[in-house]
Amino acid sequence: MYGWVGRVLRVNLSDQRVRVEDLDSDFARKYIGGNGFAARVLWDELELDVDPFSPANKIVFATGPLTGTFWPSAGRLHVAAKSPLSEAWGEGNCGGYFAPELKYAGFDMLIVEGSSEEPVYIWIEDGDAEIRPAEKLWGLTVSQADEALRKIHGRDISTALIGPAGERLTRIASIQVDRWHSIARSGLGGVMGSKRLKGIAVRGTGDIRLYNRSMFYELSIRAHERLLKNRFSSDLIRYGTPLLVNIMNEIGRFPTKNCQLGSFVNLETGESYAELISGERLREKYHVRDQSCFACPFACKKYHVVNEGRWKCDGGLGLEYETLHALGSLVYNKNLESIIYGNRLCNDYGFDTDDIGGVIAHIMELWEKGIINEKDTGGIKLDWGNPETIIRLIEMTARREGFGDLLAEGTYRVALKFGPKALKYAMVVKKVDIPAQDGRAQKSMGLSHVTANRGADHLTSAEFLSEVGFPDAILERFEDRAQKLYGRSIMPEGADRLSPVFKPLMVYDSENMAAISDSLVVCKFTTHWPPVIYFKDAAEALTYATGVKYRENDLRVAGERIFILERCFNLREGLSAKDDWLPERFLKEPAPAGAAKGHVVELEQMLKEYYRLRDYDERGYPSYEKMKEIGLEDVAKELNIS
Amino acid sequence: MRLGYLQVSLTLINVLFLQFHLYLPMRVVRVRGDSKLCVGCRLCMLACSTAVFGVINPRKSAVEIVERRPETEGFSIVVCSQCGLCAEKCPEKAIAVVNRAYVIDVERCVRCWLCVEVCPVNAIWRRPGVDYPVKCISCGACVEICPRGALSLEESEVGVA
Repeated sequence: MYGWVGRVLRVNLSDQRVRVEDLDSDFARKYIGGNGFAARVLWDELELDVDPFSPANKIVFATGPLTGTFWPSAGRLHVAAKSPLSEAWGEGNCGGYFAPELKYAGFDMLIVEGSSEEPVYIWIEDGDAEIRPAEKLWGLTVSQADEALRKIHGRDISTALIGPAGERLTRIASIQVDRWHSIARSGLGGVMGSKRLKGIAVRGTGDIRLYNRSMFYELSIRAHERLLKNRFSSDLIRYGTPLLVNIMNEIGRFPTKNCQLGSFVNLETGESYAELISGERLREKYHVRDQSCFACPFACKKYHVVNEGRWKCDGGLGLEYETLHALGSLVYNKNLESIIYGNRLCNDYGFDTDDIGGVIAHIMELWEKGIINEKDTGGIKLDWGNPETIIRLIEMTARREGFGDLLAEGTYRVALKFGPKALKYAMVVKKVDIPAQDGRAQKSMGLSHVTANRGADHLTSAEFLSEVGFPDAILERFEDRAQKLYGRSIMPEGADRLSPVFKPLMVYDSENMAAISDSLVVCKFTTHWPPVIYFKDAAEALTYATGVKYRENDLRVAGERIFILERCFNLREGLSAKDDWLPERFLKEPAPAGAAKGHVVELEQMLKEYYRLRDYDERGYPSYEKMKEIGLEDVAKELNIS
Repeated sequence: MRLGYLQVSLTLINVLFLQFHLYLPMRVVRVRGDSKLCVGCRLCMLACSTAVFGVINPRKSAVEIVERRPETEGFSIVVCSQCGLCAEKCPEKAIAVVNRAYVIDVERCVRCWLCVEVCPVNAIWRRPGVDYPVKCISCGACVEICPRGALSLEESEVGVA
């Protein structure tokens, strides 16, 4: 095969068997890779209603046909399993070097099933794998375990590890690739922990062959040039995602105080705090160097160090915008050094910063509203923004110690324990914490949080065109369709983030393209922000890489196929239209300050149009015609769609 | 056309001089890596293996990116400096300047791997799946793809031996 390497590695930890299977070429063509592979495997192989922490759950590590090549950012890894947090579709995607290494080792995909009695890790090298004991690694932090594995196997390996948070089955644990790159959402670290799988180490020395090498090379070089030439690139290269803090704060999209506010301000004094935790300040005071993921021209990862004071630490790589929100504005913490410190802790313990920040913000609001008190928290005072408290809670949660034992269950389950009053302040969709976008300030994000298959998520749609405005891309991509569907121009509403008009169409299209990004597998910083690579470019690249003729429309259909297959996974687990809903705060509490002041999310209106575009019925099920169009008749049959 | 002719004659002269153990200062082109600018994306390694072997495989590359420790230090770029020490030490005289870079003549190479050992910058490798030593031929594929401008082609005067 070209592009793909044609093998699947299957490791069963219950009977300690390692099997190598051929990758079916029709399967590969239809599902492409990454999330497509994972969705089909989990749909076919997972039984209904399995406990995510049971041996019956499976975890899939998938690469794509472009992985390991010089196509921009073609080094991402896609991981999926049934999520312990949402108890439905769970997935995560990260950079680093693991996915290319897995492919050079000769595998497009790794499926781990069953569970081990004793702690183990999987060592993969050139077409083979073995299960090795990991007693000595169990209990270690991610960076300690990574160092230990590199001592054994050499410095040039790549690792995917869990920390103590995953080992102790917290529902908000991450998998850390090469220490700093997190498969964060969906609590997949806990799935590895339940299998007593501390990690995976891989080295590969094999080739990847391309169908048309010279054309693919030309295309890649052109794509690199287009990306670097984009006017948004220089800021992304200089600051990484933290650059968004000031921008998002200005447009009122920076969730603050458990999403009460969309700007990091003091309502009484009007003072703004965003500057204190901004990308500019990070660059100026704590930046050491830049790092890039595999084959990426941007190098948006930054290494930070705090040299002195209470929060003195080697902050490590990749403090992102999401974390500056989760351990910063969301919990009302103005202390940037404590955020760097907390981020390092989360990387070492293996936490999703969005989820741990979300649960801390949730209990801080419960404290503020008087729903919980010192008796509930074991004597800890939960006033907004105290960095000592935040760091202490992260440590307690990783160890499941005292009150931390409850926090480890995630926001939704904490709220359940404290009753209906508390549930009102749980900022979750499908039990997953809302990430760093206030939907009231960008309507397409409000919709995206709801329609995403893995629960509240901004990256399943990655609808960033209407964020601060890519009017050219909006016109180019949507003008014709807006004329055809609605008989009028996409402008001006398309580029107006506060208008719900046209946003369902934009989210729909963006979700399908994002499904392609996640199956190639490439970074959304090449496809969605800045919007450079689109269906046509991806189809060309895929054709030259694999030799399979993909046209632009084939990929539009494939994107929808993958997205809806994930949706069907959720439907089979019992989710339905009623789960496509936002917390009341976004629907009824107008944003109290900032650029979006007075706005709520017009969800009902947008969702109705979105359902129409997706061809969902009122239960949230896709129609048979749609399923037939995207080639999922067998799935339709299993769901009794006719 | 005339330039090509000139180059071929120069190369011939160089080879002749090498054959007869003569010393001649000459101009070579080398890839210069500025490690401070490197961000570790490995694109150079991918371009290299593709240009030289026609497959994507960073472990066949003649330029290598190494993660340094402590991690705050970033990356090192390891690539041949075209110093010519390998040519001097090669017992078979299988390494000579061709197109202004030291190139291993695979036909003459007896796989003693001495060059790998003597290279002062550790930039000649024994690579998996390749049965002869791999070294940089200054083709410039890595320079073209590097998004950070960390690699450049540089002309330098080197005395053979």
